[in-house]
Amino acid sequence: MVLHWIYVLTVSASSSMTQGATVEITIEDDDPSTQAEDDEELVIDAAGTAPPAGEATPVAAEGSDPPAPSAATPSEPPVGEDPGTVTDTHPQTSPELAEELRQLRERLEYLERKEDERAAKAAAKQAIADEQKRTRSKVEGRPSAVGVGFKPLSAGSDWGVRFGGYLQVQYLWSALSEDQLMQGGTPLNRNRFMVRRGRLTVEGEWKYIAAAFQLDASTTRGAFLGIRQAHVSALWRNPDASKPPYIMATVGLTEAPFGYEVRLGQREMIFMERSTGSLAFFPGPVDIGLRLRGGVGPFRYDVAVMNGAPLDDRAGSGANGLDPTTMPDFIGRFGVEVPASKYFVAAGASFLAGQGFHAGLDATKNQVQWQDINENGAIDTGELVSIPGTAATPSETFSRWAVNADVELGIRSRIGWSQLWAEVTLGSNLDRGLYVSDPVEVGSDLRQLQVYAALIQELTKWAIVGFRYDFYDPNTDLLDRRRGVFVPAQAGMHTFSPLAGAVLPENLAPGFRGRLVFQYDAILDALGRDSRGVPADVKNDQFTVRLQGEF
Amino acid sequence: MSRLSSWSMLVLLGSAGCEGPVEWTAALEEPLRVTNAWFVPGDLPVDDAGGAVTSIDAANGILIQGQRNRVLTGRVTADAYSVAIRLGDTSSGWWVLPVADANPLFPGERDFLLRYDVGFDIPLGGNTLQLASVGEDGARGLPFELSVCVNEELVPRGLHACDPTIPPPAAIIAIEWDRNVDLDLVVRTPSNDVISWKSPRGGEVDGSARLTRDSNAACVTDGRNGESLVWDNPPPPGNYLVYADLFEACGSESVLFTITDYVRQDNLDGTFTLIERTRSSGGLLDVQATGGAKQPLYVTTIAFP
Repeated sequence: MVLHWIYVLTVSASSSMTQGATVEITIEDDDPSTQAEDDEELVIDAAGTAPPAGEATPVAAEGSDPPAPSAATPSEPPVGEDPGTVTDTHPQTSPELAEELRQLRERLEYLERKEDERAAKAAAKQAIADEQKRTRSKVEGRPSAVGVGFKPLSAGSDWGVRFGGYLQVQYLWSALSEDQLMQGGTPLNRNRFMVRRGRLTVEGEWKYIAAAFQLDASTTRGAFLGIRQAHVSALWRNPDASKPPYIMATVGLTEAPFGYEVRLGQREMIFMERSTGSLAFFPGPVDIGLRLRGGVGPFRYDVAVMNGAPLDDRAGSGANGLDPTTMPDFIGRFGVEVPASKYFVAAGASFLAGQGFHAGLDATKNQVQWQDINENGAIDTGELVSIPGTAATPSETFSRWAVNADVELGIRSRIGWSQLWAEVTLGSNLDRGLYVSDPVEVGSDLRQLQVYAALIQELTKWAIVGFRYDFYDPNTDLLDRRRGVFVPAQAGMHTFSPLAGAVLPENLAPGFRGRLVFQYDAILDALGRDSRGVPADVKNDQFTVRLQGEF
Repeated sequence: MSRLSSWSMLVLLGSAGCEGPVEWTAALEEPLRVTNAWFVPGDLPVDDAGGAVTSIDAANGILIQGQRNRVLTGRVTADAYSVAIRLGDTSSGWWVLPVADANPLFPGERDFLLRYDVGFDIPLGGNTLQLASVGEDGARGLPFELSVCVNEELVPRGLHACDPTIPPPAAIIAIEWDRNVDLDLVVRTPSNDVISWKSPRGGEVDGSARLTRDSNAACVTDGRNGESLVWDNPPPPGNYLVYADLFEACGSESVLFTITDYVRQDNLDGTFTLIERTRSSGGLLDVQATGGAKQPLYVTTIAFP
């Protein structure tokens, strides 16, 4: 006679995933009368309600009658046998049953251990999620000036890979617009709709590793698709996820750690573009290199070794981002940041040291040129001249440097955050985007000065207003020739930028934020000439309306 | 605070110039475009204190439409800050350029040097270049006037453009087109002689004919987009078959062209007129480029009496 006892052990994890284990134990029993009653199930749930391992004897399901002991299965152990050992009352199957029970106990112990481990892991994960939730509540609502250079790490995001992006569509009106073409075919008209930035980002974040890859699609200078971020980081995190990591080493295409505006993401920037000087120093905020940053307490450090050829933010062509010099640029910022729930203070000092490049000329071939000396439109004697070919001229490098100080202040009131930030930069031969510095050509170093201050005021969570004053002097030593005499001249540009906008808060459409911003740029410069030939302000104000959607 | 703001604004405005913002324009519609000079729309205030232009030195007085880099030098009185130039009443403003050093050979005077281009839309015929000295207050003195004759290149009239008693060419067939392509004018004469870039003077029978140029030859853009066949003497009578030959499209997808013929008319009063007789237009696609090896597109037949 064979008795079949079947034990089905099911273990349910507390997480959404369910795992199970089934143990089937077949025990021979000679009594066919008990066979029908012996198919039993023992269910162990995750809450640990399973019977202890020592009690894992075959029992009937709750509510049913226990199996009737047969004559061969006395309820009392036989005299002379050790009552402390588990013995089967069936004299013929006792050793086998004991072995089976022992195995069953081992399996149960194993499963319980596993269950305990799973429960511990789930508790740890829940603790992390709780901490991240707390962090999120800390950083949500904070102005963008907090945590610059470390986002999205300080945003308390979930670990893993995620997608995101934003789109900036705008209409620009410029007083310089004209329905003509520049030499070369570029339109002089600037009044147009454009996709200023269309960024798609894939970010991955784990405990010790983070990575990001961002593409940009825009029509700023014609349809363009290019790379804007591509970097991998190894980091040692601060246990408080709302604070920057102690050490974060990044390699790849990332922001140059200089000042405030360059490190501030284009997504967070409220004003349409960076200040004039910042655009001149860094045509784009990103460059390729090795970056080391972190923070301890209120102190922040951010240093990098980079190519020194920033990728132009306004789309690119040609040698955009290709570094012609062997020496990299050394860039860094050291600062403090004191964020609190109702105020924040941040400040820093930055430096840059690197090398610029004066391009040599290619070798040329011999040419014949006609000079219409008597301006009659025909070739006459002496008007054909030979222009011998020239050998190539070597390229030269020159040193460039800059120092910067920045300060950011914020205070929260009943109407919203008020943010004030300012920067001042002194540079030498650093203009790479506006009046490109070339001291080799000029014969002396070109010194630049940049100053700006900006104010943003939230008006509840629905609106913002702001104002920025921006000054940039591309050559503080400029001389102008007036009536045969060199006189000091002003090359500086003052820009006054009032701003107003409406904000679509984050909670209104889950996963989406947006804003509509209007900005007028009143520019005072000396780019024109009055009737005397003296430098004068030119009418080049501009007005921009931008709609930004973030997801 | 408001006083401080006002002072700040005043300082900023002062540093940028006292006259307020000036308008920037490429001024490509202007009949003259002066290199490195600033265009000031409208007229300048007149003031005798603005000084005077004392001397002008020009290569000749014939301006050709589209001509580049003409040079004009001269001198102004020492009190001048800049020199202003415009083309008679055709210009809508003045070009101003700071004057140079004092001239040691002419005490009390300063030099100036102007390089200018001539627009394509400048009216043919006689005109006047006006130069004026501008003083410290931005006012100009009385203009110094220089008479010039404006001629065109596509339909070369010679001095007839300014003097109607000088006879223009007897006949002209001209072609103009809109894109930078290598398009050629091909004319088959009554004597079955073909005049084109390959044989720009035709055969012996039509020896007085001459093709002015091979515009955009080998896709080297010359800015003309036009060429003409000129007979200084009356062409042999008969029918002339006119073709347009797209040698190379130079990257353009299509081109539109116009063929015009002109003949000289004797007014019997000692003067002559060049009159336009017919005008034919057409278009070509890039796939119709011949490379000079296929039959060109027939456009029209022009009969000369």
